[in-house]
Amino acid sequence: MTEAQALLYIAGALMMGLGALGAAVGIGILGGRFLEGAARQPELIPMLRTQFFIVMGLVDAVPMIAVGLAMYVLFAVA
Amino acid sequence: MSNAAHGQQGIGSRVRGVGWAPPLLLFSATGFWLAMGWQAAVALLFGGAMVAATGGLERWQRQRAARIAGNLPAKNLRYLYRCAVERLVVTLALFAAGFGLMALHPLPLLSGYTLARLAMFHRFYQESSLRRQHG
Repeated sequence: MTEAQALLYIAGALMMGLGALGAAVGIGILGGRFLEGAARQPELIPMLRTQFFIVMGLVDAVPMIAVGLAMYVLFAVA
Repeated sequence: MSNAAHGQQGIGSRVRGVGWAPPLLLFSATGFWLAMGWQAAVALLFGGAMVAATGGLERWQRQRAARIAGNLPAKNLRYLYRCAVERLVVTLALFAAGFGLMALHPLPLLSGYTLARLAMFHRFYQESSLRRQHG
């Protein structure tokens, strides 16, 4: 394995890892807010659940694209 | 039917709708087909189908959470986190299948995925605007 190839693998791993980290922090905050909202107003849980699922789809969009780019680097470039 | 109920029904149909993702993807696929051949168009549609698959998975988990978890916050949260992990795993598996097993063109595949995600962003933005209008 050449040095350039090794660097590409490191780049792919960093993209995937940092993307997963960002998504994890975002979804963790979202879950905490969901619990807060549910504790304050339990009657709003159905609405909060729908909002949570929708916002989760938005939060993990960019990390997923980073994962796709990492896959591209790992499978196609390296 | 009251105005509020009518508004809620309108929001529901918008949520169920797929927005402008299909025409955008078809238009882009035609462009890639003309520029790079039919394999590129297939790769782009595969990227769009990935977003549709994860969207379907999310909707299914949301319905399951509503049916099974009811008003229990901890149980709801379990379904939400499980859904996030499942989406990540499915996306990883589909990307690996597209790039590795099917050897699809990377650029159109990523373009299809990104375009479909952008269309989803737009749909959610519209939905939240509607919710704000109708309360």
